[in-house]
Amino acid sequence: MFLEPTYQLIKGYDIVRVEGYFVERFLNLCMSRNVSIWNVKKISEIETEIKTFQQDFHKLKTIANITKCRITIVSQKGGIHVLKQYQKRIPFLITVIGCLLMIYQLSTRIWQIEIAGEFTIPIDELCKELKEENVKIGMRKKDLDFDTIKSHIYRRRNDVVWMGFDVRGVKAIVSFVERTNIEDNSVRQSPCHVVSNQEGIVEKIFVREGTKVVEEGDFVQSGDVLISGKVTSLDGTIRMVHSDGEILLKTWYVGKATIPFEKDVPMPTGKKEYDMIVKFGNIPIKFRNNGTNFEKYDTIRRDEKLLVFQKYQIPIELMMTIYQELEIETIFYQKEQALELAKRQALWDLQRQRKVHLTDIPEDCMDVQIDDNAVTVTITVACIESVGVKNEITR
Amino acid sequence: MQEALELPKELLKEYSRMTILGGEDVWIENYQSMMEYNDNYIRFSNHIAIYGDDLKVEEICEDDVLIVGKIKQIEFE
Repeated sequence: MFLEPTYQLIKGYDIVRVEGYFVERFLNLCMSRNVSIWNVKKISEIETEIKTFQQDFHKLKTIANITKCRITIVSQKGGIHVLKQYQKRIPFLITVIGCLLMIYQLSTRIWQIEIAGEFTIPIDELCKELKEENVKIGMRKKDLDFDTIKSHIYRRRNDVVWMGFDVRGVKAIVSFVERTNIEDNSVRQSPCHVVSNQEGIVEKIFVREGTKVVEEGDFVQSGDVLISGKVTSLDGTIRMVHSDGEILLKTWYVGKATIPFEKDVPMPTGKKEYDMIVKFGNIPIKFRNNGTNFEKYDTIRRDEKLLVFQKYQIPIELMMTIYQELEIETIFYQKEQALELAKRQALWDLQRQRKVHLTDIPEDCMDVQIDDNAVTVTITVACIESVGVKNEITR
Repeated sequence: MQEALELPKELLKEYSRMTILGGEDVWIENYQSMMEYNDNYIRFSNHIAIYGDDLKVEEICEDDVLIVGKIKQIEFE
């Protein structure tokens, strides 16, 4: 049978010693009378050990009488016997039941609230909003009325477009999606200039409202007014408008990296030391917290919240600090290696400023300088970008 | 008749079927009854005898028996 040993263990079984000269006959009779036996093992010339279910033991007695064998129970194992063993230990059983009830009670409450999503709203504000809706640590899960909370927060906050709740074990994950295209009517109506937020040469300028201040080909700096909110009428009167338009600017970005032929690099030696703290709720228990004796080291902090079935969180946290010993090693680069590395780092530097992924930079955009000690690569790229931010005119 | 219906021989006659796994397990179907049993030798009434060391009857029921141990020799008397 599939999973037979597990079934036998759950049901409970006896290990029986059979003493006699006709064990074969004993076994054959067991089979003909449908007695379940297994793991038949000869101990000595006249002794054999077998395993059988408890309810079959009385049948074995009859068979033993017929075959002139003597049977004794060596030990009893499995489910029923374990239960019988604990039948008399009432305080222990009460403790076990109490613990189970406590775990059940604790698991019906929220012990951690996580706020997820990408937003620019300060997290304190969101926490405050949740607190106003009585979403707090220690609250019962069934008291969470998601729809009401959502509708209240939507009504109060114009900048939240969507909210999601996910309860995993004792952890509530609240996701927020921020409205990104909010334009306040008062701001839209208020007079403003369009100013440059970049430095470069104006490639194209198209004005929807306002007065054009710069022309195509002009060099502008960050903060310069591109479209003015002051409009002069034919009769000479000046009125203030909410200026608007599209401006394309030619900008330059420079990525630079220098790689020396000799470089001191901290390398891990492989030696590690650990500090460990186990946190039960808010109570930390320090198992080891001595710091490290290493002179140079990297610190890796790992906080793990224990999960049951890889999903449900329980209020036990494992905080581990790993100290990794480092040793300073001098690395020598060949000219080609240093050049390749410098190119890559200059590209990273460029990408960091431009915040886009750049590939296949032509060689003529690169300036390579090699001296006795280092290689310097400078990459210069020109971009056409849409610029301009609205700057309210203060009276 | 048996050939026409392609019935297995062991169903019509009282033949035994033996399955040997490596040198450790011997599974005998329709063993009839056990004649002799000790650590080194097990003999069945269907003229099959198994020789080996630490022989153990792992599972036994009315028709089948699983012998486990270091099997050295199987004899058909």
